Amino acid sequence: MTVPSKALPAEGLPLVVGVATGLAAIAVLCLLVGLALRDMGARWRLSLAAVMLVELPGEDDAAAALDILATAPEVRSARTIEAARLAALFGIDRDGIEALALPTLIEVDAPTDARASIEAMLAAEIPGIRVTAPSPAQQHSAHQLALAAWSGLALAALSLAAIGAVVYLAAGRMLLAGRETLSTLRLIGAEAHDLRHRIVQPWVVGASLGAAVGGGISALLADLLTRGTTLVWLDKDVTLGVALAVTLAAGLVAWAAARLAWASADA
Amino acid sequence: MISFEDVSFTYGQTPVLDGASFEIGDTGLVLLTGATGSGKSTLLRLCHLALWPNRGQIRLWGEVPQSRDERAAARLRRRMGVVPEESRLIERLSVAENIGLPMTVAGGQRRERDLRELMAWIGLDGREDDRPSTLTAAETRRAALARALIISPELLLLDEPLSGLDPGAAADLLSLLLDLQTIGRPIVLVSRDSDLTDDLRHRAAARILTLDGGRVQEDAP
Repeated sequence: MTVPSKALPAEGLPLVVGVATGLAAIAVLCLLVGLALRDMGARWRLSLAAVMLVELPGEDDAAAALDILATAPEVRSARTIEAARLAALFGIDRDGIEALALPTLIEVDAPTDARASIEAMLAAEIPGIRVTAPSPAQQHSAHQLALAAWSGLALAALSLAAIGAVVYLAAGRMLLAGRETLSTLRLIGAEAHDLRHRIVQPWVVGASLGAAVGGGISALLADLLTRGTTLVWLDKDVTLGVALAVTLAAGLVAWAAARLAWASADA
Repeated sequence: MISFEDVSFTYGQTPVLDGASFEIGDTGLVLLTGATGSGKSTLLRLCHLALWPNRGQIRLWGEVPQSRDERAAARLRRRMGVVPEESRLIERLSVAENIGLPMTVAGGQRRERDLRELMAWIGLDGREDDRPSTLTAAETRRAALARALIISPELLLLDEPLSGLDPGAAADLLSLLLDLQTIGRPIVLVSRDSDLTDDLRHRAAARILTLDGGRVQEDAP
């Protein structure tokens, strides 16, 4: 049995599947990175909301320090930090807080440029006290983190929208054309099993190439999104690993979808 | 050539054929008729093994293909020419490529001279390189008929070949079909058109099979 390749609905199909797979890989990775960064960014913003942290030498000094802070005109609010809030700020559990033996802390909401005067006021009454405020670098880093998170989510949304458009406009139409072609070829005595094999083959190749390209681009994007942030857990190896896993998964899904679609074309 | 022995077929829970039995010999024109929804097209699809019966057996050239044996079905289909109601030309191919496709599928080289002669006979001379979408309804039907004839089939099956055509185009195509009778191969034609039934009975001494209640009845000549 001989069926000329021209008769088969392979024109543009591998490309469509490849592009959709690549976009899917980018979307999934951007979604993962964006969501992770948003979580980290939220933590940083919480941390920065406590504009200053006052470290007290002993637990008994907290009441005295709060009295002093209440009289300072620059201070908008001041309160001791509970374990639950510490956990939220630093992403550690209660056991972790106890194990770290952190000093007693007071969270002060006041302009950061008032740090020196507040520290001087407190130190005059309670020796050994220390006031810390986020550095400009930390503030910049938190800003970058939030920006990266939202960029990741926006890219994911755009990619998903593009996949929808590609699938709706192209793949659906081509699948229909493929079904009709298979039906015609069967009608004139072509063997459907061999045909399906020949039709599916370019899809698999296209999907694999698309996934590889999409995975590469998504790894690059992930690297760009996380560059300049203070994330230590998302180093380049992890980024590459996630990108490769997403690529593989997207390729497998595309391959399975193509097989399923063409198998159903014969039903 | 074809025999149906107690063949039943259902679409889901809906019975279409219920113990249909008939035989078609090596020559002659057979008109398969019946009311809309009586199962004419289903019976034709069973003839070219696009469907498989739920019960009974279909014998083609003495062979009873095993149910869902696609390889055997494809081999038997290569001995038939089928003209479906919706023509099903492949848009990516030119008219000539569409018509020559069964020859390629059957494993032979496309014989240009045969193709040109067939296209001229069927009235598509000069349309070789055109796309199917540029053809009129009548030309599309002619192209589908040419595609069925290119392999010199041992059996020709046509599903509502004249439906949707204007009277002039329908008359021209019918005259081509009547010419085909001279080849001496059996032609099975499905139609619900009662005028055509009368016409073929008188002009071509066609054998009339009527589908009613899931069974095939032969009209008296």
